[in-house]
This record gives sequence, structure tokens and C-alpha cells, in this order.
Amino acid sequence: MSYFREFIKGLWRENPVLVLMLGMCPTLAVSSSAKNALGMGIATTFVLFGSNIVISLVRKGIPSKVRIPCYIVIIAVFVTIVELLMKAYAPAELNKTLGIYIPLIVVNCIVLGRAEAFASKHGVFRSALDGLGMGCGFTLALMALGAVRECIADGTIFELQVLPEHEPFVLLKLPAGAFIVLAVFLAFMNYLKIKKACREGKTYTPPELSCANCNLCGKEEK
Amino acid sequence: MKETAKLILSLGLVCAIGSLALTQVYQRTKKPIEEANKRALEESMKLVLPSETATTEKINDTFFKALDSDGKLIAYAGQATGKGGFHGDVKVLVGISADGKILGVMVTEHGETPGLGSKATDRKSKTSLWSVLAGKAKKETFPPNAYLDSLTGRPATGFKYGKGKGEVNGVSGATLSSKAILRGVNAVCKAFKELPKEK
Repeated sequence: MSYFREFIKGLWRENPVLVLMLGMCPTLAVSSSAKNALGMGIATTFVLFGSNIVISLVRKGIPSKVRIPCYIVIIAVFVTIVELLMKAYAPAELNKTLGIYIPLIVVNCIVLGRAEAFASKHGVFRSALDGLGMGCGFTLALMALGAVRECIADGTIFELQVLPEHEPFVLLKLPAGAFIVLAVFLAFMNYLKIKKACREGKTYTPPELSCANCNLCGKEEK
Repeated sequence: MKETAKLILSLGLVCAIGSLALTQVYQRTKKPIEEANKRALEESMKLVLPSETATTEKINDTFFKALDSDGKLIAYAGQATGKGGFHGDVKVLVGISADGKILGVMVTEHGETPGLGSKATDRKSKTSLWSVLAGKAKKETFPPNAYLDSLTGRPATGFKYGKGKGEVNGVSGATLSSKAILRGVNAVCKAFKELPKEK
């Protein structure tokens, strides 16, 4: 696979939120507004990028029996660095809203998932691109969700009024609303895929769980 | 046995390098973090204090005094925590004039439900996207909030929550948040009473 496709796959074909369905917890919690989504996305992208590089560098030196604890330590170090840097240099407003979610990146399945499924098997450059792509895909998906939720709930996007002022539609600001918007997004994506398959004269088969995306059982990819 | 040693060694090595990296970053960001916290507090104090304020000085854990450019005391800013919001505590910052009137109240930290409890806590600007695109947007630094503003101008002697005369009427659907804010404001008022007055 070319380097460019390694990056681009995270944006759409293997989008972590909309296709791999990883990292649902931060997705539901932080996508209540576009601004929070952007901040969380950038923080996660940085962690993914960093941890993917380091893990692919040390992948040969770490015995497979202790690889998961090692990955978690590496990821936790990056998350703490991001947290300290954000506290020091990010705008106070962003810190306040994201503060409680940043430590949660440690257990964000996307980060550990990419470490285990990709970075532990590929070279540094590919892993870095994979981390960046997945991070961007995560950010974009989160921002799209956040913008839709914020727009319908408050009539604003990035805290700027776009719809006439109305009584806030609270449901969409709560996690339940995130599930609903996410479901609509997924339905739309499936619709596009089915359309595409029909145009090509094939029947659409939903992607199944493949060892390329998971391999938590420890089996090698065939 | 040999394998176990290898496992311990590799995990220990990863941890050691990780902690080394963290100590470095921690020490380098310690000062900027303190400065950022201080700046954030100063920014919010500017909003509840009169515009003539030139410098602020710390009096005790609760209060700062605001001095104008001649070094004259013009107001106080006090911060306190109101316990028992809908999702934990609510931190408030209150500006009090030298003659003991509330100048402004703002919530600096809270975990209230967006859209419900936040109606009582948030000062939300209502700039529209169209006005920004047209280049006509004015930046609102201290957007209004009906509940918080209902305290402005009253003497800082403590408030009672309720519907009666002289009492503070909360936001419907955000009773717990409103009460927690009031508890914070009352804590500031109480500390203000005990504050040694300067001439």
C-alpha cells in the first residue's frame, strides 16, 4: 500500500469512529460542541502520532508477553505530556472543558488499537502516517458530530449563531443525542456504500471483523 | 527463569525511560502552568472588577483587592466554592465594590449539564456567524446571564434562595445549580464581612 493511502485510509475507508467503531466513549462525551471536538481530536491525534512512532521503534525489542503493559505505559507517558503541555499553553477555556477527558485518552481504544494492530507490525514511517491519518479521521468525525449536535441543540457552530435563536434542544447535548446523531451518520455512510456497490453491479456486503483490524487474540495476521 | 528476567527487564526499562521523559516535561512546564493559571484568574477577575482596575493584590485565600492606577483601593474580588451542584461543586468569582455592593458574579468552574444547569452558570455570547462573516461582530467579553446578573448591584451581605421579596429567584430546571452558585456567593459574602477593612 502506498504511503499516501496509509494516511488517507483513516479519513474515510477505515475511519476509527464511523467504520471501526473505536473510541466511542470520548466520541459520545466530547462531541457536544464543535470546539470541544476539535480540541479533543487534536490532543488524540498528537498522542496517536507519538505513541505509534515510539511503539513501532521498540516493537522488536519488547517480548510479546509484556507488550500490552509496555504500550499502555508509552501511551500514558504521551497523554501526560499532552496534559501538561495543554495546561501550560492552551487557552484556559479549552482546558476547562477538556480537562477531565484528556486522561481518558490513555484508555481510548483507538490509541491502543492502532498500537496493537498497526504500529507493532509496521515500520516507523508507515506507523506515523497511520497515526496521523487515524487522528485526523477521528477529529473530522468528532467535529462533524459536534457541529451537527451543537447546531441543532443551540443553533450555533463554534459558538457562533447560525440558526435563529431558540429554546435549547437539550436531548442532543446529552450522550443519548450523540447516539442518535451517530446512528444517522452511520446510516448515511451505509447508504452511500450500498449505492456505490449497486453502481458497480455488486451486492453490498458489510465489512466483517477482520484480523487486520483486531488481532487482540494474539494470532498473526495472515 | 531467564525469560521472566527478560520480561521484567524490558517492562522496567520502558517504565524507567517513560518516567525520565515525564520528569523532564513536568519540570519544564511547571512554571508555564502556574503562569497560565494565574493569567486565567486575572482574566476572569478583570471581568468582574471595574474597568479602572490597574493591578490586583492578593489579600488572603479568598480575596484579591483591586487598585486603580493611583494605588487607591476600588474593589475586591473573592472566589469561593459552592457545594452541591448537580454534578459536583461550582466555583464562583465575585466582584465587590469598596462600599460593599456586588459588581458582578461569574462561574469559573462547574460540571453542570449543558443546556440545563449551564443556563444558571454560563455567560454565553450570542455572536452570529453571519455577523462575523460580514466583519461586523463585536466581541462580547462579558455576555449577560439573567440569573448571575440578578445579584449585581445588591449589597454583599448574603442572599436567601426563594421567591419572596428580597430573595433570589433561581432558574427553572436548574434549581440545584442556582442554589450551588448562591452558596458560593454567600461564602464570599461571609468572608467579605470578616475581611479587615482598609481606609
